[in-house]
Amino acid sequence: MMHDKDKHEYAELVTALVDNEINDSLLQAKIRTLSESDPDLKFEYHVQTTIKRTVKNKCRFNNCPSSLKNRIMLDLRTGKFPEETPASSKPVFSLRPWAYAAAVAVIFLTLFIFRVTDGEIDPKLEVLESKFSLDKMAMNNFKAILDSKLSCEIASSDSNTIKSFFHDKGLRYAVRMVCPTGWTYVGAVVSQDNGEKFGHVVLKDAKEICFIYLKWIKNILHRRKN
Amino acid sequence: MTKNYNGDLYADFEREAVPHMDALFNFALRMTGDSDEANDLVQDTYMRAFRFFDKFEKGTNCKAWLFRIMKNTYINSYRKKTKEPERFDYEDVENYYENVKPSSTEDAHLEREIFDNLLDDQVASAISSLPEDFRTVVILADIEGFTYEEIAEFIDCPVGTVRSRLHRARKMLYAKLYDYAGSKGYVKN
Repeated sequence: MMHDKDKHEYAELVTALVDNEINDSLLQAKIRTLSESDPDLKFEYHVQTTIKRTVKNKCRFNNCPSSLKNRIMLDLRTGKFPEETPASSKPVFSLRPWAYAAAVAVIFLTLFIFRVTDGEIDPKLEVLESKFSLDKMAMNNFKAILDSKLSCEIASSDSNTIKSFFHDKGLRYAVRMVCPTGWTYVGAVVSQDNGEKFGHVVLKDAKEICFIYLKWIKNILHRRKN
Repeated sequence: MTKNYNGDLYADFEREAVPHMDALFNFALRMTGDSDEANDLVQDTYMRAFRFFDKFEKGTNCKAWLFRIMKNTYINSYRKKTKEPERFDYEDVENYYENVKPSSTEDAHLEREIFDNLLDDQVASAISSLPEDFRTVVILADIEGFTYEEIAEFIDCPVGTVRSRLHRARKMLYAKLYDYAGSKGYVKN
């Protein structure tokens, strides 16, 4: 006759049998025989197999969202390593003051590339251009990226992918991508102001990251128009 | 930047760790029960993993290593915020369990059909209601497909404890799901 203690131990071994976790073939055969002959252990076997199957069949696997994958890849590529702080308070890019200053300086040194598709100039764009200083807006946006208020929506080092992303996001102007020597693309984001969308590109070299906003220049447009 | 960019390290990390992102997200979602929390947990885990990637022993199980980092991150930052599920009285489960044993093989087949008819959400909800230690082993064994040894490494306890927790967790789930089935009229309570 089986003692309660033995039965309890055997019951747990039935679980191991169901999971194919008994390496000893003799013990495996013994537990299998018991799980067929002893009513209690037979029930244990039934419960363990039923639940294992039910969980496996009913719990769908949730893939990691692509936006999260992109964000993580972008953070890794830009070398962002947060200190031990709560997740919600982390900035997207953590820079030391000198790096921040260098990055801001790069903004003004970097080429701003723009082109408008053929056709009439959108009057709304002209209003926007006259109303705001785009340079100031770019500075604010870069600060927003550093403060994690504006996170990169796509991580990619491929200019065509970023161009397609801008197109899909509904940017009203065509974009010509230029990457200075020694720099690579890491990602992009589209912001919106007064209903108008603006593209922003983030690049990196070995030491710094920089941010380029895609600016629309009225005089180029006029030249094209004429 | 706070750390020098290292292309080789990044390439190794991308090859070893990034392919496990889906599995980690799935586990994070099951543990936190909230997609925003799961997003933050996965991101924190990967950032920490990259920081300590030079400590990772090549050729060992990277997936288990990542899960261990996630577990520590979860314990340190997220568990406090997550509402603990109701306490289970395991003795009640045992008593309940004794009363619902099918009396014949035919009943057991019928019962299998009943469990097959349960909705995915009902099963997910039953798993969420398990105490954390038990929920962890069910997710790792039955959804993620880890071996007892891997789970033991991950939760830092002996293999026997994994087996025991899994055994009890499935019994708890059985009682819970049987209850659901009863409330839906699939079985007579």
